[in-house]
Amino acid sequence: MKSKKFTPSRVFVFLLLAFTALGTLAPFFYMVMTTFKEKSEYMVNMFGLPKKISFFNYKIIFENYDIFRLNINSFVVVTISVIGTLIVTSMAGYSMAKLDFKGKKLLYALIAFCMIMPGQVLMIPVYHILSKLGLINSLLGLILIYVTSSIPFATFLFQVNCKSIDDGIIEAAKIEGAGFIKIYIKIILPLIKPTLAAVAILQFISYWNELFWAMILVQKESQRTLTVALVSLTGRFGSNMPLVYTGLFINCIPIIIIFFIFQKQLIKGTSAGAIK
Amino acid sequence: MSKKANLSKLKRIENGVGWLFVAPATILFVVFMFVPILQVIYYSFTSWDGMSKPVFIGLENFIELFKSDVFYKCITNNFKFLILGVPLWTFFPMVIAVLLFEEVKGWKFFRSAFFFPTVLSVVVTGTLFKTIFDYNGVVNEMFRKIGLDIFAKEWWATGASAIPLMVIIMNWVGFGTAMLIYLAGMSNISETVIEASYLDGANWFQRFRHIFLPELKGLIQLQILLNVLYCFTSLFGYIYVMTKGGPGYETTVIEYLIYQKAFTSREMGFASALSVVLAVIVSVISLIQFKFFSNKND
Repeated sequence: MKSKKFTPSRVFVFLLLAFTALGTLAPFFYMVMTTFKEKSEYMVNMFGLPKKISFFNYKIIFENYDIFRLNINSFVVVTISVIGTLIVTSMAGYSMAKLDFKGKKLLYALIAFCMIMPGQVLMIPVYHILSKLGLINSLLGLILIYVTSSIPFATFLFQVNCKSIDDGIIEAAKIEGAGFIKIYIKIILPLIKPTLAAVAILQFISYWNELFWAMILVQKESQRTLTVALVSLTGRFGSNMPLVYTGLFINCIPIIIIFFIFQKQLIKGTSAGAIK
Repeated sequence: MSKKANLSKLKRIENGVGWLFVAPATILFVVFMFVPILQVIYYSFTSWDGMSKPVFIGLENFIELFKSDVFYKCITNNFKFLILGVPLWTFFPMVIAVLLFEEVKGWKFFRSAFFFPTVLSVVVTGTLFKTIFDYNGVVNEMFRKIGLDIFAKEWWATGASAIPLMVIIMNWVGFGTAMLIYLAGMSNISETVIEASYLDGANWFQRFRHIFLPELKGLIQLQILLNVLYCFTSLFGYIYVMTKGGPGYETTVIEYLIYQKAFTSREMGFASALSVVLAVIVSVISLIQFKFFSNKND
């Protein structure tokens, strides 16, 4: 147990942390607080709490943006991408950890090589390939790119996780006559559930927030994701900060809910980067 | 004999199943990552508007690129982000992690608070901070209110103030991730060593210098390399949302220039040449990283 003695040095540490936390949260709270002020109040009361809570800004945002439709688009893309990611990368991770096949080293090198390429390097050919496949302005195109982009990171996590599974269990199942596919479904998947959950949550957030691919691959208004649509907020409402912040806050709501429910998995998933 | 045949049959099945399981990942990877890398190399030797057929022009794009002032301006900006950003993004989260490790009252709440901004979209954090630091934004208004009008500046008007500001904003948003990684690294340090330091009456700074700093060396090196890479691969979102690379090319970096050349002026050949240069830079950094870490593991 660590000593919890009350010393000047510990008080100093507490104050430093509290000050940093205040600095970290203040801009966000300021944004949320401003969403409840009408513009006229914002002009005279920029810093203080709203004198009366107004939902006027929310009304305007819902009138200007098809928030429902945009949310649906985002949810469809993100959910299918997450499911696709889990299937594709958990299978690959299992195979690379537990199965012996020719060319494994080569595949490993290929993934490692492509892992670090930024999207901007790939954007011209990827755009071209997708337009040849007729997948520009289609959510499917975006989903394929999202799943691809997560392969290195997620496959790696699953591979590490599968490696730690005791070979004895797998051998026993083999003796009982289970094939590789049955082993994957009946033994591996239940054992890697925590990693599945962590990857799902981390990827949900990163897909929801993604800007670059969603912006260049989907240009049709009706197919846009919420995050991309809201880039136009500052252009549309100029200096009307309460309206801009309201739009931003609406985009955060699903993420904030996830943050509060799954914080433990999120912290675990992020810390897993340390083992890398 | 038959046992041997059986065994080799089993091996063959395993080989087949092994490939079957990696097939979806491999196909996606080859189609959307590996082939594009080859294609971009080909396009870099062509003149192309993205619609008609690419015309082979040899090294012309590269010659034009290395002669252009804009290219040097942008790459200098990359290095400005690097010089300012890497130390801050590496050491700030470490200091916070060390302080958290003291487990003072409320440390779990603090940890959540620090981690929170990392889950927000760059569109949200970028727009929020852009407006906060606008000329009539809340920061400048605050300065004016307390009579410090001289500090109320046009923050986004020059690279000299915009780039440092963006570096700080990125730290605000992102330090929670590195902080968690450092914390995970510190939890591997033996309890007895830390325990002993408490018995000896060491304060957090002494523990920092003599226990954490040596222990975290590997993670610090990793963070430095990741942050260097970050300066060439992950600035797009912030720049797009906050400055659009402007004014002029004051805050444009290579990856943003590629986007502009490709999607604004439709110079696909030139943009591809830029992509190749960026890919080479990123590969060299990664190679150094790889060498570095494989040496260490020996």
